[in-house]
Amino acid sequence: MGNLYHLFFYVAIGVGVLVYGLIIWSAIRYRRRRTDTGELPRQFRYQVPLEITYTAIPVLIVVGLMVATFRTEQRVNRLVPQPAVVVNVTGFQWQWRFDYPASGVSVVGTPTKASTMVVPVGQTVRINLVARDVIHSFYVPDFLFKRDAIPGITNRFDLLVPTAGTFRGECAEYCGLNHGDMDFSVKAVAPAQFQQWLAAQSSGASG
Amino acid sequence: MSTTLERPPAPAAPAPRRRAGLIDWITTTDHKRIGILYIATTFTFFLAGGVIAMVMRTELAAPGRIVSKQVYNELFNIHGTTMVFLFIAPIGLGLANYFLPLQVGAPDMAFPRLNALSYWLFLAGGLTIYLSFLAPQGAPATGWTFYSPLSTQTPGAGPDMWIMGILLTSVSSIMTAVNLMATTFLLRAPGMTMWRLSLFCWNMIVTSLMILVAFPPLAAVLSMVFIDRHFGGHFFDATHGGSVVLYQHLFWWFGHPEVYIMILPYFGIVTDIIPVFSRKPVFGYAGFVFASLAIAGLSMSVWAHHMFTTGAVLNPWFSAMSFLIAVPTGIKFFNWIGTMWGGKISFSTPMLFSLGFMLNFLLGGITGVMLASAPIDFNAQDTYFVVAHMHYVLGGGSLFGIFAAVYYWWPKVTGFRLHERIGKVFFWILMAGFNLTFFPMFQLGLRGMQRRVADYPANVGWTFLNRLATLGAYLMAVAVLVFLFDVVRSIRRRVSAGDDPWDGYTLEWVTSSPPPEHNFDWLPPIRSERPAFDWHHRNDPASALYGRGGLEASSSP
Repeated sequence: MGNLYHLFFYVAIGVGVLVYGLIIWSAIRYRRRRTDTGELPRQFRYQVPLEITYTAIPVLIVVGLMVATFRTEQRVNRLVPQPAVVVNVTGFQWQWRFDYPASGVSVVGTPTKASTMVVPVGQTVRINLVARDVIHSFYVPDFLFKRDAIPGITNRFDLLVPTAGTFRGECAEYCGLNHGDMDFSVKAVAPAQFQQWLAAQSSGASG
Repeated sequence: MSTTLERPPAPAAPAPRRRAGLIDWITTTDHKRIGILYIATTFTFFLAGGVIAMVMRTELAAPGRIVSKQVYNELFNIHGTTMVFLFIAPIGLGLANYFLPLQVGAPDMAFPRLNALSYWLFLAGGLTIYLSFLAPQGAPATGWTFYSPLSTQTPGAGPDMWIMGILLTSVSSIMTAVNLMATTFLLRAPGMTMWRLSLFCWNMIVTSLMILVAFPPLAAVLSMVFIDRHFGGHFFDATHGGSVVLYQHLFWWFGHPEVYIMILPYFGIVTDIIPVFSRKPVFGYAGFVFASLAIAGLSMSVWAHHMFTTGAVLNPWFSAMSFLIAVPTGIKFFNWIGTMWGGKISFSTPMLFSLGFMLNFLLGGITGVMLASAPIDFNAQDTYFVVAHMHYVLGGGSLFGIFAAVYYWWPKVTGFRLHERIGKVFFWILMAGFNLTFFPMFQLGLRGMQRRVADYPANVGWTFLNRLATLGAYLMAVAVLVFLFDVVRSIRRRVSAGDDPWDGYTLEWVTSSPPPEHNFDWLPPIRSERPAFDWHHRNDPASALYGRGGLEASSSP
């Protein structure tokens, strides 16, 4: 995913330098001088080989960007056959609920206490994302990823967090008055710690 | 033929025109008056939408709240609604109202009374939208995109008034599109073939085509929301067999052509201006026309790039089409560069704004190509990265194009000049303020700040960038005040501009400033896309009229 960003960034810089350069160069180089005699400059209207070239090259560039995009999206959207953990995520006005069906554990956010989704590091977590009332969006900026929670649709995606840490999460689809207060966290911990946490939750500690 | 093609002498002592009274303005069917009504009205809406933006930016300058969340949420809807529906698109139609008939050599639009009705429906729609602030539960806090189920579930009269206002302005736009196309196809002066039309006219035809395709589905989807709200409908209600995503498909089928409707007129205006101030014909006229047509076609195949994160659409198709649409847009840049190349460029205010348009729109376009990549969009969607992109194309692009048009055409409409030096000061302050406002937002988005939030935490590293953006916004407000000062000063001083202050190319520059009621007392022979240039420079080999018999080359004008 990072490689895609780099590709786009460098292509953008290249195209930008070229086109900004041409605009600024021609504005300066071909400005009317104070000593101008008023004669008209050469009045050319077209140059077909140039026009074909500056149509074909951008097409080639975007085809390259398309191919890189498709490959990346396939990787990002891939669902493994056997995820290690399944979490059912429900967005509602205005917090999140995380259900771990295999262990019967539930974490529900409240207006005063944001919810935290605990997951094991380095293991694939399957998210089944739904919405209860209006459209929300499950967004973790550090994962460079979001997916909408839409009433009537279950969106499935896999998360694989490579390093331990606590990552900020937000709702990224305007959902009414407290849309900006629907923050949550994703906390990735070592697998053993994750099992301990699950056990502690289901043995009665408030979830 | 020995007929002289001299311009006949001006009629002796033209009948004094009494100043138009209020009744004249209310009952006018003259496209020029209607154009002025549109421009004045849309500009007033711009100021209102801008004041709203100042409140929003003041709120966002730091963590902590100045207005309530409810008010903020109402404001960002009306800001977007105003700029999209009540300013950028209709002022383009207003400029076309005034100048398309002139540029094709017609005495008025094809359907003058329909034209008048268009304007009054537009005004009614805009006022209805603003009156929603007075509804008991306020203006709709739904966002200008009005997504269902939120819009269906939002109580009160506000959303309903908003729907009614948009339906009125939609009908207005559709009528104007019909009028513009009929005028261009049927009322061109002799010699004005389609391939001699100004590129502003070409782009207005393409814009009109997109309006006809895009606006009816918008009217349909908002009517469907209304039915869900009040008549027991379940179009977008998943609990009763409806489809939430259907709203987005129908809305963005409109919404994407809409953004091209909001830029194509200004592509056209800038392409009229740059050749005049470079003293060359436009480079690649045919390529430009084909590129505009390609944009219109492709604009109808990209809509779901606004829906990449729904998981409900075929991302690769919409991604591919969105990449492709960058190509015809890029071609236009080469048209402009090729026009400037080898020219003799003078940096009058219209040209400055056209250059600013190019530089700003380029960044908007490049970041648009980034957003076309669905996996990149998975991160950037609904963040300030998108806000930055859209404002670079609409603000940096369309808004600068609008001011280019105003400075270019003000002398023709009023007969007097805006002040060059004040115009340049205005340009530089706006350029600085605009970029200071929106460039930091790219970084804000990449740092994870999502859209449509009234406030944000103090500990996430967003405060400094937001402060910069707010400072830039205040600078833009100062710039607009400079512009208003220039306008008022110009009206009070009335420095006469003459018929053709810029040595322009297109037909409006052969008639008086302002034009007579029927536009032209006389037309020159039309033999290229630069009829005014050809006539005024008929001694020069560069003119398409050079060497024609019967033209008294030494006489005026």
